[in-house]
Amino acid sequence: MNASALQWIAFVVLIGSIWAVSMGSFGPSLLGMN
Amino acid sequence: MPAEHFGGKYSPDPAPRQPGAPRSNAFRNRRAERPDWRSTLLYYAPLPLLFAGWGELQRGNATGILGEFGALALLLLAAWLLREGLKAQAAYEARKVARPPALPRKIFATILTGFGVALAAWIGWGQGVPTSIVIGLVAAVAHTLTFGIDPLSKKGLEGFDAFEADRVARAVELGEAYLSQTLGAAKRFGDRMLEARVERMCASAREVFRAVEQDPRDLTRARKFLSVYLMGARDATVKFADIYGRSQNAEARKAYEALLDDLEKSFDAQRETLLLEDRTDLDIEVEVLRERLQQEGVLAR
Repeated sequence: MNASALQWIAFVVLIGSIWAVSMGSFGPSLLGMN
Repeated sequence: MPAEHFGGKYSPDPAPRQPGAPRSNAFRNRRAERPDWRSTLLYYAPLPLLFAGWGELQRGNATGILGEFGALALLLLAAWLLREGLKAQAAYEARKVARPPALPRKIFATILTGFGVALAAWIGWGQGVPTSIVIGLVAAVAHTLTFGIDPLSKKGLEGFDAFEADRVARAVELGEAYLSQTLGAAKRFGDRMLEARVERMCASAREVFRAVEQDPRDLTRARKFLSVYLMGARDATVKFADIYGRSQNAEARKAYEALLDDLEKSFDAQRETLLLEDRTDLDIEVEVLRERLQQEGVLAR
């Protein structure tokens, strides 16, 4: 696997994790469950 | 048949140039500003936290408010630090001799991202502490793999001692600061043609920087240039921008254009002289320019 492919995967993981925790916080608060 | 140069009232640089006179290319030594869209996306990814925090605010949940707004602040600060770090790295890479950035911004961005993600996972999302720490670590590692870390070592000047290298890097940094202030003032002219002249003068000055970087022994000789003349150029430009902005004074413009001409010529000569290592010529040149700046009232007598 070359360096730029690794970079792209890492970028997707990074954005994915930020988005996931943000939406994870937003979801319950939207439904009034938190 | 030689090519004919066409120009009109609104064409930049209508002044005829001496045939054969070399001119600095205004785009040399300037880097392209290309913001990385990936770093831009990092500003948007944590935005759901804003709405989540708003929801907590309505419910009056203090822990939730602090956790979610705190995580959002950390992530936005990290995105901004990353952007600044990428800029600093581009500047570092553009130069032959450079010191590492004083603050390792990309490394701080990585740490803040890890903390921000872990905080959001723990308080916002309601995960357990171990899970939150793991998610934060994953984000931090991914951040480093994507964007890397800051340049941490000095560059260039192998064979010259560290003290010398440091002095050159600092002198060029100071010169660059004067140039960017000069260009900033030139933007207030509201006159594209004059602005282009100033840009060309700055391009000539940057050629001298590169000459000094190539051979740091030149610094002693170029020191006056790097401090006094670039400062003079900046002060003259700021003063002229004030006068011209108010009154569009044609007389002042003429004087300023003549000064720009002198400065540009002397910068080109300075670079040539540095390359030729002819000290006497340079000292005379420097004296002439000093007098010129004194006449303009830019330098203290």
